[in-house]
Amino acid sequence: MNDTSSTQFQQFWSELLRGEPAAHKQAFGAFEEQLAAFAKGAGDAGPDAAGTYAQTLVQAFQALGQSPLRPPESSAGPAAACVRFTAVASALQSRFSQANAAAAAQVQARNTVGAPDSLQELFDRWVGCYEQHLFELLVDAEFGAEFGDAVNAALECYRDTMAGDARHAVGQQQALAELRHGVEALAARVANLDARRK
Amino acid sequence: MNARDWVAELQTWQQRYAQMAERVRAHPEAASGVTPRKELAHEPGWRLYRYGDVAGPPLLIVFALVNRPDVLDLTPERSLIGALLEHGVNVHLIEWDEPPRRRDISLATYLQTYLARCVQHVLDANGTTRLDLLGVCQGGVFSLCYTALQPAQVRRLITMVTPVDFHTPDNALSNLLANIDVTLMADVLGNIPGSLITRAFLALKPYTLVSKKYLDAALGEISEERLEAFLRMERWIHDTPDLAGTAFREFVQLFFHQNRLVEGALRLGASDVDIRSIRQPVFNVYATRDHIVPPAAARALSDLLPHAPYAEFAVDSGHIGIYVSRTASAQVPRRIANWLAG
Repeated sequence: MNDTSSTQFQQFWSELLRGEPAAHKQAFGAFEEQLAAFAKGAGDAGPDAAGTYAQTLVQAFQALGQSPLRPPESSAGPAAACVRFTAVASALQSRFSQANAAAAAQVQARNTVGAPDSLQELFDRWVGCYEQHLFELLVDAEFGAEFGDAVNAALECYRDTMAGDARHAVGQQQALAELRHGVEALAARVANLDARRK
Repeated sequence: MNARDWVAELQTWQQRYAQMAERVRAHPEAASGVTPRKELAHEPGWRLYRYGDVAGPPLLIVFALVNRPDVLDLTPERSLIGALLEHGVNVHLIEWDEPPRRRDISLATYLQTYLARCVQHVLDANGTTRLDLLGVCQGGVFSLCYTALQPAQVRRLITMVTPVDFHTPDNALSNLLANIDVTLMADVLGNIPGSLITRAFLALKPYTLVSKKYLDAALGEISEERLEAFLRMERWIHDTPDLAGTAFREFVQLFFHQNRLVEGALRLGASDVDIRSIRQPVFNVYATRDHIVPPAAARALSDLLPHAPYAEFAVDSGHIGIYVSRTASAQVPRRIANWLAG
């Protein structure tokens, strides 16, 4: 498989990993919407409702920190690897949700002991707690096994899809769309490299 | 703090975000590299540069295949290369090329052909028979292997945030790679997309390295100089070359899966590689808050060099901060230069 295929997989994979800037921008956009709703609600409710809205904010942070893994749209194909991937990814999703909930509970507990002085402090608390729980997950051997299984299944799924094994027209169309997207990305990358060389 | 204060702070966030976005839009594209250099040689696979015209034992910096070495020369204030020059070090650097479509570039090719050719060019250009190596991260692994393979060519060796024991319990990257079938991955992908690697690294600390970083930048009222450094760093983070599929597969299998530097029986191409045979002085620089190469993974080197004078230096930073943070910039180049001169 050549570099263009790699770029296609890159698009495919972007459905899996939510660490990419674009996804985070989207997530942060949603987060900002929730903050805006919070602001409106807090403004309407008056000055004594901060405790209630701190709870709302933690939920907003929780939403922002959702699983970095989720099943790709194209995993709906018929190949066994795609079915396996969907199952394993679902298990991973559950693990991330647990880490997320544990982080939220920890932040709430801290808030009970001492309310944060600012929104930024609350956010920092969330980041610290979430990433600690995430780290514990990432170094867990059982999680590593599940993660590897998910990646292997995704690779097989992708290979099967790209080999034309997938019978669903939707899958084919998506592959074409990914191909077009991949070529465009590749062209942009080449242009960027050319610009750098100049 | 009451709800109205939260609302006011939130409004401030939104204003700052808008201001930051405006500044970034108006800012010229961030450049890369600040220290003047000249190309000594290039061949398919690599380019070799010399910085300044300092005399003395040549130092060759070997960067990882992951990311580009631009981070070593980010801005005048944050340049490991520039600071080494100021301390009188005769600096050379390899830049690995983006791999071609063919996938058969092996680790042996990188070490025994590309790196070997670069070393020879540096030796010839300086009229000497030995040089110093400074290996960064994965480049440190390359440098250790090269020193073991070609001991007569290496005078001193510096490893910087270099993983040696890949099986320490706090190594998240190693745990994530532990069960991945990298043969399948290389077969399916060919070369490994650089942006995939970038995303994987960012996903290890998704808030610190993405959302919170941007928020902090927006709220920090950063100066033009810091904005320039920030954008240069952003460009560096997201400008990752693709990795040669074969070399990627071999590196993951030999080091992440089989931990060959520690376990022994490492073979590259037709050569056995035993870093325990190294007798050159070794200076191991690691970061105490490194989430990619945990300190224990780097410090394991001390137990594997029974014949080499060994020294180490801990820097209070993360994996990237060791090149660019103010603390590191003030300490690391001086310590390296002093050690080389010692």
